[in-house]
Amino acid sequence: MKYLKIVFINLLLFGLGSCDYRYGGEPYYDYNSQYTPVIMDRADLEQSIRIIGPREIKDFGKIYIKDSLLFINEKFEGIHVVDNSDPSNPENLAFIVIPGNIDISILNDVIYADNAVDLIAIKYTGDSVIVIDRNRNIFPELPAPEGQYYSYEGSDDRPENSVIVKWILK
Amino acid sequence: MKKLLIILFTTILVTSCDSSESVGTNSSGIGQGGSLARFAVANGHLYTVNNNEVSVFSLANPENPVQLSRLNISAIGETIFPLGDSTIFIGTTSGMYIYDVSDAPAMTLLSNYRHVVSCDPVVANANFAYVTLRTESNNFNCARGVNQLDIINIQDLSNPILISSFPLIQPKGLGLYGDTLLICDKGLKVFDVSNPNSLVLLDADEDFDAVDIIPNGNLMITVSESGLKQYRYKNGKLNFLSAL
Repeated sequence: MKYLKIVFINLLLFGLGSCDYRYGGEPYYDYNSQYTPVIMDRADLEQSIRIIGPREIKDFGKIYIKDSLLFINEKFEGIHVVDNSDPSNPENLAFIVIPGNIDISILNDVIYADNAVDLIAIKYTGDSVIVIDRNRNIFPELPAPEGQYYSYEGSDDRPENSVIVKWILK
Repeated sequence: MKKLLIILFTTILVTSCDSSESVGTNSSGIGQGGSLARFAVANGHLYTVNNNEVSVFSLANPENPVQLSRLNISAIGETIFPLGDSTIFIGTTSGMYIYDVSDAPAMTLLSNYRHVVSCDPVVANANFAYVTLRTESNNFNCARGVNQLDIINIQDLSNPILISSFPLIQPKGLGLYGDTLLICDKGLKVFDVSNPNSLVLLDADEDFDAVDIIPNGNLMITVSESGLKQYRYKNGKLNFLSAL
């Protein structure tokens, strides 16, 4: 019976916590995340966009199609570019390294992508990728995979001018 | 009478084809995202949803997106779905928000269809919005034990009306192709939704854990944790094309 009571109280607390966050407040519960943030110096972040050869497609995130090309996000790492002109035989062309990337959208030949907290506009030419624009600190910092409760903000050991680019299991 | 029936039937057919094209976006130069997308281009603007914030960027010069406004929503936004150039749907953990964006960058809230707290992508055509509600035990934002599809009448965007709900296992992304709804739900499942009060399973591939889908004509492009899988959809059947 006591056990049930504890479960009930926990459920209640859990419920309250979740409700609160819905209204956009700062997370105030210091849950211990199973994950730890990976940070990158801002200067490095801004030099990090590059194209490398095709690599194995894993940790699939979002997908986007533009004409005969598929752009497939690998969570927090970047975008796989796949030639899908023959859907029976898609060809993995290249990987665009974009630390902290989850989403993209495309207008004409410009790709908009999140590069951790920044919005970048890039052009992919087949053998190169050019960053043509960067809007800094547009997005909130990447939350831990469990949800929004875990925040790295306010941590004492955080280096200056650093950006969270992903979270990894502790 | 027969002639009239044929005309009627053709009209219905044409109408349903039209609605399939409205999945994603239909303006030239814009690609198409899956239902889990948090970025969308509509009406010359880029919309991004992140946490409880929606940002609008001008793409007057596509090479130099300029942030025009930020809008706070009292919920955690997860997905964004543009319908044509005038409407966007934002799926949040507590409901579906419908905005008129024809006067961009202004975003006019038309309505907010509320549901229990869960993770919920949305796709829509001119008549109906299809919202899947998913529970994720390891994510506090959407752990309420609900896994279902809601079909909502949105002919009046200011007054969305729930038509029906159907239980699912653990739905993720979804896509609309005419009267066919494809749902990533412990596999890829194909449903006939021509009658919004019933959900008729036509075909399924349960060999993989599909996460999101883009219907591109009758080409069905799906992704799972393990890769890309494509099908040609014909006469109620998924015909496997390739995996990568």
